[in-house]
Amino acid sequence: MAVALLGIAVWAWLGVRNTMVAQLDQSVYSVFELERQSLAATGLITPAPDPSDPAQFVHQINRLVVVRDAAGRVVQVNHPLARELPLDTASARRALHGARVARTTAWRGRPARALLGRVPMQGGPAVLEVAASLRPLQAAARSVLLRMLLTAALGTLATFIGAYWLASSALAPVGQIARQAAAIHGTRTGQRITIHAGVAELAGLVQVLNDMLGRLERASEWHRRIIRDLGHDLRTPVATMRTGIEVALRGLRTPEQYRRVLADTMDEVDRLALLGEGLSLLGALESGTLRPEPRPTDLRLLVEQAVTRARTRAGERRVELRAPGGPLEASVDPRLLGIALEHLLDNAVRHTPGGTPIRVSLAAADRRLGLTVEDDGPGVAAEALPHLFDRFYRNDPARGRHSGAGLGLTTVAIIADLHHGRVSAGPGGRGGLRVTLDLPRA
Amino acid sequence: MRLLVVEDDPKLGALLEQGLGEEGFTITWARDGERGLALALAQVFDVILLDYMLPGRSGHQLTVELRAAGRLTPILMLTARDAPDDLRRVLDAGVNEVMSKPFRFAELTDRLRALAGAPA
Repeated sequence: MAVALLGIAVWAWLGVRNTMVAQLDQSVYSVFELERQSLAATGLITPAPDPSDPAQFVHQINRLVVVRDAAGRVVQVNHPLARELPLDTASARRALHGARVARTTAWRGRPARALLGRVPMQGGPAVLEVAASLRPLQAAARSVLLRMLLTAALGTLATFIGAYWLASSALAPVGQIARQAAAIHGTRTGQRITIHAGVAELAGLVQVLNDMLGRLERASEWHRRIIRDLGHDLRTPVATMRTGIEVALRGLRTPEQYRRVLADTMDEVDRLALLGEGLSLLGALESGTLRPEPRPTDLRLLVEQAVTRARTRAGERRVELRAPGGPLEASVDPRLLGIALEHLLDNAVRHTPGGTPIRVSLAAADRRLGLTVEDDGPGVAAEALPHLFDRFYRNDPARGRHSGAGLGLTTVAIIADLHHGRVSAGPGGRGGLRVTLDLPRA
Repeated sequence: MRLLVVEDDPKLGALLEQGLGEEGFTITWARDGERGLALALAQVFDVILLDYMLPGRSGHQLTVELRAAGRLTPILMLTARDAPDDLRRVLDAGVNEVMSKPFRFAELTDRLRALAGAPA
């Protein structure tokens, strides 16, 4: 802004100065014409009045008139001071040839503006030169420049002050909002920003911040729940191990009883290890450490292998597979998809009563593949369905040892997403649960 | 001393039945809250050992209903949760003592005896 004002001031000053010089030229021209007519009429130029102080000549008279002959000799002057005008031979020659020559010269070391022209004289053509000092003009121009620069400086200062005041006024409410946000404590729920919430220009900002606080609160609550649930899942098997060992040590036992305690302890160790592996896998998938490496895979074969393994764990449950005949090629990571299939089948086995079937179907349509695992178990309430793929979510809050760690379906969802597919859950046709994995083939 | 154990975990339940039985308690073991409440109302026990998280009726709910029915049988609750709010809820409901999992078996035995009014 300051540079712009300065530029405008300088540009305006240049315009004013050029106008003043043009006006001086016009004035000099007028005097030139008057003297030329005087010479033509009387052969004499008009003498200038003698100022009381020669030093004031510039201010009181300021018109120097000199007539020179063709040889450059001074013939007439309007005042003796005019003799000090220097002769410019080239300009005089041009004037003798009929040109009107305007030039900047010097008189007593100070710049002057002069006009030369040819005038007829009795003795032959002569050169009439009229000069005026530029000093008054320069003084005036300096004064104008000074005023313009001062105006520009004051204008800049006023602009800065005004802008600062405007910015401060505009940002003061934002500062108050920031202070209220800083006072919000992480442990208390329901805290929101209330200041300036009704001001139209700031309502949007306040709403965005409050929405963010709401999301942070929910995420914080979710983390607390995860940690609480994880604590429970870790403590329960440890309690079982400890109690088993303590009871065994409180009396003399048979080798078979000790073996039983050791075997049960190993089961709990496996349970903890499974939890650890599930967490580790989930962490690797979510952080991107474990990335899918898709390659052409016969999905039919992959599903058959998973079903075969599930049948060994299913006990009295029948695991039925329905798939098209022949290979079903898809570009997937067989390792990750195998893990997803294990979790889907494991989940169905865990929640299905003995003697009931688990139906696995694989189908291809257009460029997509659909894998469905359906059971005839107790199913899931409609309000719980959206949460099935949340971490550590279990349909039964009692979280017994048979309900798993609550990570399996979460892992399936992540693997599906990594393959640009999706997984969904809904009620089965006979009251149980149906989980569908939908994947692109390529 | 007649002890009602309400614990859904089969392994832990079996260990408690065995270990506390060897300590002289007469054990009745219920595997869910529904069954546990029914037994607590139908029979007389000297002390009840109750898990916090149970399928169906939770340990907290069982306590509330037992106290509402006028039963003052001492209750010791086992829990893997230690959130202050959870502990306050169960104590307010009428649980006499809470022990966190994992626990020392000897301490469990001592506390059960104390609640049952038997010499340690």
